[in-house]
Amino acid sequence: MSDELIPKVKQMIIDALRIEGMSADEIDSDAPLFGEGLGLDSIDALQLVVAMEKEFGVVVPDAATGTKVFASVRAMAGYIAENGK
Amino acid sequence: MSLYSSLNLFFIKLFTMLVPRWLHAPFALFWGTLFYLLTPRQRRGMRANLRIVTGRRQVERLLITSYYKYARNWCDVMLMIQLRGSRLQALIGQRSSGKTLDDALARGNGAILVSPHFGNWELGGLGLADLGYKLHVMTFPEPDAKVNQQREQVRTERGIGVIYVDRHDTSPLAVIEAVNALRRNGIICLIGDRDGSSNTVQLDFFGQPTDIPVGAAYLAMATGAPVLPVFVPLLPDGRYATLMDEPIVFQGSHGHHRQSIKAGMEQLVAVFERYIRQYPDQWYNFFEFWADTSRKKRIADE
Repeated sequence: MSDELIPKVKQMIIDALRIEGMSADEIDSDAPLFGEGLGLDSIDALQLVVAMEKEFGVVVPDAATGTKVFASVRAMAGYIAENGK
Repeated sequence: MSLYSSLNLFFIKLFTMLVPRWLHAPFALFWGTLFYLLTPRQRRGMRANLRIVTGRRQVERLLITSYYKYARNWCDVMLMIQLRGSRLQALIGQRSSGKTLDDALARGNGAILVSPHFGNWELGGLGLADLGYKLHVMTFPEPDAKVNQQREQVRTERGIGVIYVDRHDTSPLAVIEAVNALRRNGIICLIGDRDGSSNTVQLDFFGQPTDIPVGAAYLAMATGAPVLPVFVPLLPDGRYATLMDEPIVFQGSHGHHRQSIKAGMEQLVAVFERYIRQYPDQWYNFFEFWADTSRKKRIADE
């Protein structure tokens, strides 16, 4: 179930952050989103919190949950699958 | 000047219960002058700040009125937590139109109210909550647990949410609860002039390089909420003005956040400067605000 969400999550990241010149296929599902991985910054992280709720109706309630959820695209997809509507 | 102890606050509250407000001024003058005399380090710090803000060497009169107004401020803080409705609103003698805030909320992204340590910022929050606005205060926990508990109780009784921020938490997700509140069209209130967090940007503030916290900018860029600078100065008639300046909108895209933060924060700091210049004795920093800058300059000169 959560694997099916992975392409959608990747597209959400590209759309929400308006990342130009990158396709969903280029995002590694298991790479860290921040720092060395996809190279997202602090604002991007918070924008993803907003985007996840808008797109999937899933709330990330606190920083501890966020740290786990935003570990990778796969972790995001897993969280959405568990908590989505 | 460590007023943040539950014992001090108890005595100030007791005073406000026993003494009518029209008699607070002479007591505040007495206590303010006493603290002025007994706190040389804080006095030196405040004097240095006032010299930079005003560009004048002679600031002693302003320094004394600052102590006096701060004493009045504390009396009013402890008084107003006992007041609601028209009795609370009566403390406000002048107010900006609520249109700026209402327009912001009509867009559905919430609003971020930012004040420096200026005037009676607590009254601004209580006053808005009293009018029915859904507020969340973003704050560091107080060092005194009892004070923390008391402040939280006062706020929650009035429907004001409290979002604690760990000043040592460098995670971008530390402000996630505030993002969620803005998503529900809430209002986030925070203080934005002192470097107390791990996320800052260095800006020119009164001609001095200053580390300014950027939490408001992060929230604004993540949610699309505007930043509204707010100020609650004490007026000569003993009441307060609740003033809201024009909204500042932070816009930026992936990879260009740093420039957008700097541009927006420069606007915010310019508004802070404008109000602090107008009411220099109500910018309450009882320490040398630019101590690091002064030290660096001295080293450079040597």
